[in-house]
Amino acid sequence: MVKSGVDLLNDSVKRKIDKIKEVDILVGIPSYNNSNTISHVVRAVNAGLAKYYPDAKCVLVNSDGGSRDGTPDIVNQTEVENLDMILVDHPVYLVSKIITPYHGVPGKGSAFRTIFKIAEDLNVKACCVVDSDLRSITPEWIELLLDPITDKGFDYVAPLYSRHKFDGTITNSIVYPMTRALYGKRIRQPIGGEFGFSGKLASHYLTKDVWETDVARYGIDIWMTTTAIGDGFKVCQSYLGAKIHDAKDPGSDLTSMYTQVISSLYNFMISYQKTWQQIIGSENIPTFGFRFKVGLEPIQVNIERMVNNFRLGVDALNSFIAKVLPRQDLVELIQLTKLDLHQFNLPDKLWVRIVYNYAIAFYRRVWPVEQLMKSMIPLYLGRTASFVIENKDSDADEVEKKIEALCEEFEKQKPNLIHLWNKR
Amino acid sequence: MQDFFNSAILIPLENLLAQVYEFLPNIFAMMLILIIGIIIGIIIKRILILFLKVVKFDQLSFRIGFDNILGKSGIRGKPSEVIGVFVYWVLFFVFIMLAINALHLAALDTLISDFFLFIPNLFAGLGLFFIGFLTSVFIERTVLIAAVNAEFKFAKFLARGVQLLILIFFLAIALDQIGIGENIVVAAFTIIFGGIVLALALALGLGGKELAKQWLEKQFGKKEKDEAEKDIRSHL
Repeated sequence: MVKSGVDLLNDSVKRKIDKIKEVDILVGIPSYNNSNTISHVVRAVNAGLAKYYPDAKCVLVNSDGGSRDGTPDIVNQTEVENLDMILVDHPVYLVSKIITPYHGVPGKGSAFRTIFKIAEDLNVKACCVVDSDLRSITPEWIELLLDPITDKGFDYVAPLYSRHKFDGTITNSIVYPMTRALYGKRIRQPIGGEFGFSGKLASHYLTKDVWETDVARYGIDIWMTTTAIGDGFKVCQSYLGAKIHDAKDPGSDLTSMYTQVISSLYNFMISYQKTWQQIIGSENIPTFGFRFKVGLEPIQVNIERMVNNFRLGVDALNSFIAKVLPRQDLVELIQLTKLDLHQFNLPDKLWVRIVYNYAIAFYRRVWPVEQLMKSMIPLYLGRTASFVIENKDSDADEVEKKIEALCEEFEKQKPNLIHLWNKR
Repeated sequence: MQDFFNSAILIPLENLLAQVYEFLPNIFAMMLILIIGIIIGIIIKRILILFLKVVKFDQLSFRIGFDNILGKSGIRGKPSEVIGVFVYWVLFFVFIMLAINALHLAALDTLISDFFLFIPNLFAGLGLFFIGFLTSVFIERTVLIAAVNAEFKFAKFLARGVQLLILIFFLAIALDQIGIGENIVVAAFTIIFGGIVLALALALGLGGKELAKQWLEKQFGKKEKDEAEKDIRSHL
């Protein structure tokens, strides 16, 4: 059989693969200018592999997007420290390293594609990927992401983190509730960034022709999750603790992140329409790891700026939005723009209708995709501001209950989504 | 008396009748051409409306806001039907010209040949203006959305300004193509375009100095400030 993506790997990587031949476990680290943090990530990965998989043949793959700060050199030079303090058994094999630039559209997805390809060529049993800007990664993460694959027969492990109540707003307001309502699985962090997956699933990912789309960029996380659920792989989640990472690349602005993630989500609704239309309600998925309270980094919130952006958006784009939303919803949005900051509240019901109607507009190609997605951003900022105002005095558990209520609203309105979707 | 009657009334009447007999086939030809024109017009209108419906022209018009413009102009009906009716009347007018030509009136020959020379230019001009309209709508929306997301307060004004400029530009090209006031159009366009650019430069220089400074700082400098300004907007 001709394996997919042969040209993804350069000759030196192919030679290295020929030399290594086969491994049990692969850990992938996509990177781009992460010289400050990648050394810590590599050491944590090495320690985790040595501690939890001493008998396994392991490989660490760094798929780099052309860093100019020497990130690949740091990966190459980072040595495994004295592990006597944490190890009972010393590893039988040394961890091999493959450091390679990736090809294709610049972005995290292209880096993952190279990792999938190496996993397939090395006939890997279990893989995981971790971000290179992580400050909170510990060796235990490796076990938590890989153990459900190696020992419990799962194909896909999503991460579960403790996050600040106002962190992960795209996840909390759209991606989690929508994924849950559509596909019936309560994966709390569908776009978490760290994942475990079987070699079988890595090969399955490579069969998909998505590498020239937003999947090659920020859409990769939601694509991996959706594909795993939609194509019937066994999924679970592992609690990893707090996720603390470097400040984002200044180039990675909200507009492109939002557009790529949400348009990917909507695109998969089209690909998997037969699947999600038959699912009613949602169910918990197996969750591993020991949950504990952690201290979290504070997050700055500028509510006024978000509300002003919402007001400006509704005022300037109302003729545009009018072709996406029913008239009464637009009227409701216009009324919201007249409220004072402390009264501002974009309710769950309206928000769910907005997200679903945008999905319909996306499906019917009412507007060009990029314009449609970008026109939604002021509404998303309004919803985020409303969420912050509503929860400013709530603790994490109370906020989680609010997110649960939002998820239930998404599930409640799903029959209407199906009705509108199939209406011609 | 009889001679007078013959020369004054009968002969002219006979001549007139002879001319009418001679001209009558031309009139029949004209009416036939008109009837054929009406039938062809109706058939082409129906085929065109059907074609536009098949290619979902009404949905495209909805997307680009063409239906809004028709509505604001007081034209009712679906865009595909409006275009069908427009083409029907254009064809009808063409057949009127052909019908007049069938009368073989020397005085109208030049007018008719000028008309048929004018038709291709008219359609080219209309086509150019329609392309310009589509372009202006697309760019107006792109600018509007980008400006809103960049939190620019005068987003609407900016987007409409850009749209107007594009429309003026294409209008000038279209009028030039049709051959209406070529020199005046080019001169007017140059004056308007130059004036707008100058006005914008003056406005930015005099009134928007701070705004320009802030924007340039945001784009090219002070990354520390950017980091400090990061808030939950950038958290996935």
